[in-house]
Amino acid sequence: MKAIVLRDVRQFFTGKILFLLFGCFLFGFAERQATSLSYEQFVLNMITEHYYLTYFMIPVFLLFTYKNLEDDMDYVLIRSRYYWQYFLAKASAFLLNMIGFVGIQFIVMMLLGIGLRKDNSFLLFGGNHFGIEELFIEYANHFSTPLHASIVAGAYMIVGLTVVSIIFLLLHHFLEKKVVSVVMITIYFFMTLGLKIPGLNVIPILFMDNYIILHHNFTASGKIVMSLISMLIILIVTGILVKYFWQKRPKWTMKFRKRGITFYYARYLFTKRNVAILLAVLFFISLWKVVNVSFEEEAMAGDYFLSMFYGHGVNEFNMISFIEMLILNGGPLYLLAIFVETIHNEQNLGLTIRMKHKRNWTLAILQIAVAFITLYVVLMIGVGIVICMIVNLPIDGLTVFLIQLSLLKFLDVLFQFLLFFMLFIWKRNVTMAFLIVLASNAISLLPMMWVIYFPTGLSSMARNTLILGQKGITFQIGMLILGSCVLLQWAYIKFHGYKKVLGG
Amino acid sequence: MKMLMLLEWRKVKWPVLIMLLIATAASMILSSTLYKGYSLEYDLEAWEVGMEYLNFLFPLIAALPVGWLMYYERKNNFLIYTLPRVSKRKYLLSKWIVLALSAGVTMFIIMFAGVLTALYLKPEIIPELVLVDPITGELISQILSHHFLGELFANHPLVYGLLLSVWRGLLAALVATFAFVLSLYIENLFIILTGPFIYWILENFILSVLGIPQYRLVTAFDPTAVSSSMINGYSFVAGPLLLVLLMIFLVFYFKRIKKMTVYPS
Repeated sequence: MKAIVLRDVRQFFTGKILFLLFGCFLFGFAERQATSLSYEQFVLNMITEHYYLTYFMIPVFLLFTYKNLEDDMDYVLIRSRYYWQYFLAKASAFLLNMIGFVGIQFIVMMLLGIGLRKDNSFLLFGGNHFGIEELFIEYANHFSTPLHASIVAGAYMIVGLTVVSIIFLLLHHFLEKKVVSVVMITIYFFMTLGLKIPGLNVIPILFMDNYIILHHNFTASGKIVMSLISMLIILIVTGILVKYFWQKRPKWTMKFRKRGITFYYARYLFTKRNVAILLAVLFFISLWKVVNVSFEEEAMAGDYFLSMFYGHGVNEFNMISFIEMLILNGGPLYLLAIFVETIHNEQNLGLTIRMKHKRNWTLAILQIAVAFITLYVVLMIGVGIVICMIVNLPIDGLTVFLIQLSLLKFLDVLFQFLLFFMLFIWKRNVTMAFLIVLASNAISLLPMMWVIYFPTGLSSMARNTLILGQKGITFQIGMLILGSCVLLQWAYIKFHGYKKVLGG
Repeated sequence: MKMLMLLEWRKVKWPVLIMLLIATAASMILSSTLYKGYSLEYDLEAWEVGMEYLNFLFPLIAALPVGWLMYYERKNNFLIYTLPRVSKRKYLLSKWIVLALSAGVTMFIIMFAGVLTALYLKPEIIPELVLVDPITGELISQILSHHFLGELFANHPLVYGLLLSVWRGLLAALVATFAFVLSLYIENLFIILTGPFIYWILENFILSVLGIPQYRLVTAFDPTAVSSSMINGYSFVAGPLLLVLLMIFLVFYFKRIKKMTVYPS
């Protein structure tokens, strides 16, 4: 028991703790420069500072916890009489770790605060107390002095962090480490989402910040009780699972059958490299857009999405936005074209015979393409939302707009892909097909009015009523045009085009 | 060596000649028609106006007719049969020379045909001066004061056109070299043929967004793409240099890190 605890604690407090010290010191030092708070108020402010906690301390905590999770070693397990004893030792080690983790930050803040005047009350003097005032009023409602409040907040944080790390310990016991990391990231993402979107926080148990940050429980009466009870329930459930079901492993009954040509091809397309390329393109353009948008007065997330999906208008030529449209719409197309070229190269008799029917080949490609384009659109919207949240653009009431945008973008890219695929079926030349599809983007440059209805690049907001007013096309018309084009293409490929693939 | 180069030329002859014919015709037609919608001062401006679309497509013109050459020889293992007859270095070198030369000469001819058309074939332009001298109040030439190398452009348009055409030919040779480097290691024809074009688009976009459009490859190719005050000597060096660095990096990456070989092993 003792040895396990000691070992775990030793593993936690290694050189990596310097990173925490450094971040903590940097942040505290920056705040200390301009503060007009008293010593006790400063400590309370630092230990409850919202941005520091959510964007530095909790990620560092998750990282450290993840690093500390390790597979149970046989010779350690064998020395514990029961599994629950072993687990308890680990859990208590985490408690000690968390005491140290929070304690270090406390000490840093207390050292940094030296030299400030002593005043153990909630009264604020002079200076600009943006945000602090509200916080202090909340704390003053529950505690008599800042010192008292900071001690309780720190203790609460220790308990909360321990409970959260026990959850991860439990998950790690029953699941793979990879899954745990996914769960961690999801929980963190949920937490930030819950902080940004008011009203989402109505189910406090799902958001871990309620367990860690005391004043997040002040927003509604009785929330603190709820948090405490749910922590207790988590501990009880953990205890039961560890005591009686520790030897069980969850079995996924719905095993996904990764067989068939579709999955065989999916491995070519859904590679880490391809996703990384898409993400890099999206991040680069999004960052550029968000920098541009944030210069505006009262920037909203809607403005960002409008400029991200701006595309290129008709009857005009703007080099940068045209190229940007080519990159944004052509990025997934390019990867799809590379994919089609690869599988076209590899096409051999054995594969053809095993497929039984030519139609299956086309169908597999179309399925994968649809999945890939969906992934792209989801990434595009997702990256946008994350970036808007990071730079604090208000993101309310955009749901319908975003759904419209993503549907239109999906149909647009799908249309271009099907056009590409039809051309490919016709001549079996990927380069030519891709270049023709790219060239079809240039049709919107022609000096004629009807090109506004041309399906390529119809997802451009520059052609929409939102920008052009009466002359533009509405979302409904756009979806109608693109949808019918896609249906026609799909029907052609499904009933006729497929016969021509594979040298028939 | 001479025989080798002749051999290579025979392989790429038809695609290069077809591209040359089509693009030269396009260049002559564009230079003698598009300018009508503009108010211009000098004949050579008709060439600049006409070349805008070809400029945008220039990596394709350079890479498409020649990029496939190496790909097929690697794919069907033809390369193995050359091994006993000729050294690797010599074979690849002669291939590259033919490739770069044909791309460069093609581009030069396309551009210079446009210059000749604009200067001598189409009817002369009636100059329309729009710029007013703030001191004297007279109409002055916009070209002389604002165009890149305005003096040369106005007084010796043939020399200007010739110089720029030669320079563009060199850049086309560079781009064809890029396609060649790609074809040495990559086994996807589509990437080889469109790689230079995609690079050109991405580089153009990224450098523009970063606020240094004067160092794009586009600017090196067409110095009128940005205002003449931003142009300096580095504008002509930076874009090609970046491409050369990328090529060196790619060769290093494929050869040393990925340990790929040009000849099947």
